[in-house]
Amino acid sequence: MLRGFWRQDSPVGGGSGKGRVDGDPLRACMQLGRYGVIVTRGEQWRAHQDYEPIFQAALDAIDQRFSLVPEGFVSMPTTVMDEPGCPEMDFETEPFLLGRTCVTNAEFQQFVDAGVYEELEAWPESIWPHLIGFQDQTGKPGPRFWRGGRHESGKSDHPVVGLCAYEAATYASWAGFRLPTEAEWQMAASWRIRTSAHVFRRYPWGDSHDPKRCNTWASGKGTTVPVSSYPEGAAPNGVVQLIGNVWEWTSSDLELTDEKGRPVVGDMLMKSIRGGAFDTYFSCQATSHFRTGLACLKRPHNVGFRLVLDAGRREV
Amino acid sequence: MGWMQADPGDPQLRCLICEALNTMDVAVCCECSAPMALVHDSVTQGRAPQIISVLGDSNVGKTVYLGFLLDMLSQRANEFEAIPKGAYSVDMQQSVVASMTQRQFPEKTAMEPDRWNWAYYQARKAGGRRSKWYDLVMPDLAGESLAAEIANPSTYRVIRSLLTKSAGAMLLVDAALAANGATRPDFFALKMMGYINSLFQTKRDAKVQTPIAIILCKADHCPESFDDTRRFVQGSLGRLWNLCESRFQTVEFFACSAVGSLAYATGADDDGMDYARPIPLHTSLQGVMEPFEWLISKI
Repeated sequence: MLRGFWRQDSPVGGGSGKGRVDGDPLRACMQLGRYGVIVTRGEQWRAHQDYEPIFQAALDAIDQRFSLVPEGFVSMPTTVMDEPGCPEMDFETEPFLLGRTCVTNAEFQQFVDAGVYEELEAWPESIWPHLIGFQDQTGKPGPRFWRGGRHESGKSDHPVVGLCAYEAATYASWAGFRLPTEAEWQMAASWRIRTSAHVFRRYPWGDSHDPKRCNTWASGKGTTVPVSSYPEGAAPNGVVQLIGNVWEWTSSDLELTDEKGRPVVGDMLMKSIRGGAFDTYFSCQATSHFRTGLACLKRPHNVGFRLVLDAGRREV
Repeated sequence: MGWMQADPGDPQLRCLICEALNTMDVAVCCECSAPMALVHDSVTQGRAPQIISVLGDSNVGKTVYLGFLLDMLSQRANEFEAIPKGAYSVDMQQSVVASMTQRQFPEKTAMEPDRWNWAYYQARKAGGRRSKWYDLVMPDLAGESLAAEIANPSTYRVIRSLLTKSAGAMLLVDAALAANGATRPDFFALKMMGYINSLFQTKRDAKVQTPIAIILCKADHCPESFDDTRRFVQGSLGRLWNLCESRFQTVEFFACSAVGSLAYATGADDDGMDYARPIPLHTSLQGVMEPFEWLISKI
């Protein structure tokens, strides 16, 4: 019964052909993988004849793709010298749902094909002047390393890279989700849940770096791998690749100081990125607590993103 | 041992770089200040090493590049195997790694030749027992010293000797500055290549045969230099491009970056003066091995 509502290409490992999108907005959301829109803004379609099955299908899709991160707390170093004993900020985090994998090229293809790059209202007004620069190698709208508006064949299940913080945030919003805050990301990776025994994990799987559990320079791959590989590096809730493969954009501005309290700034606003990438050389820079950032308009080859849905907003 | 021992009965050694005679017990050459450990290690190996000079303007990133290159080699990157000869060879690599993990750039290389870093490595591409070992000496020279030698040849005779003996060279150029329209990187590279041309050119119109890898550093600031390196050089370093075309037979262009994100600690220093200290927030190595692999295939 639900077959007709499912997307033509599955988000992980599927194709990326331009399928015909249904003219019906609710069905179109389902086809394009905008499950968050259906689940969080579904009220507007309550009168739709297929509302219930589509809503349930969107919930199922989220169940398959997201994991619950329980409430917890994190301590983040506030200085660039992040040695033990350095000043820290403490944050409490509410429970939330986090994408088990980073957003793939195939998933982002839907966003490009839907023409969202040309829809001004989908983007924050402050970056409209920069929109024209969000092009691929052939001048088409899309991630920096794509060609002709298409991602590289054979990499549909790799994380989408070559996009700036705004492209990541706009995709998330379009799909009905958001980016994690820096504290939420760290909570998911360090798994410091509220229990009587405070456990802090340096890596999602434990306390020791292991190149067999993540794709960093030491793993020797030298490039991105599919988003669901390295399952042995998963966090307890099944979220994979928080460490390695690609850095991940967060929604937080980077706020750091040097050892004398002088602010650390970039040439433009810097957004926090987390987790390290396939080319991260030092294992100490690919941990659950290592903080760094990137100019918000940079579109590098090694930064992707994953999605968050507020647990409270899910209409179960 | 004829290439370094003056006379079989004479306990003096010739400096590997300038060929001056030195007694066995000195630490650095009396003429050019190159470490005599290079010679002692060469004697142990029973063959003269090949020199790869790493050149470039001050602050272009020679020390960072060379430090990471050596560290990657010793971690068997791209199936290379490398063995340092002597602790002095490891010093620079260790200093670069230690600094960058603490989000600091290594200290500037001193202008005095006796304080330069010298690395002597044996390296080979993995390929079984028959794969060829290269004995390589790679010095880390101060950019200011290079500039002084180019401006007034023989100010630093060690540089002239070193380049004359080099089997290949790496010339590092600041791609970030070039992309911003600064002409300094182009002019420095032009002077450096002109200097090399004058050292190696045998006839008026002959092209220099010595392989030279031109490495665009800090390329993360201008990603287009990674996309099409030659086009970037033609567009932003036109003078260098033209000289290479006319006078150098074996030149290749590479883009490279080591710093994933650069920020600045800003404010006032202890004397109340404005202050902006660059901070390498994290390290992402791109294009470090390729120039080395190309050079090895050409020497």
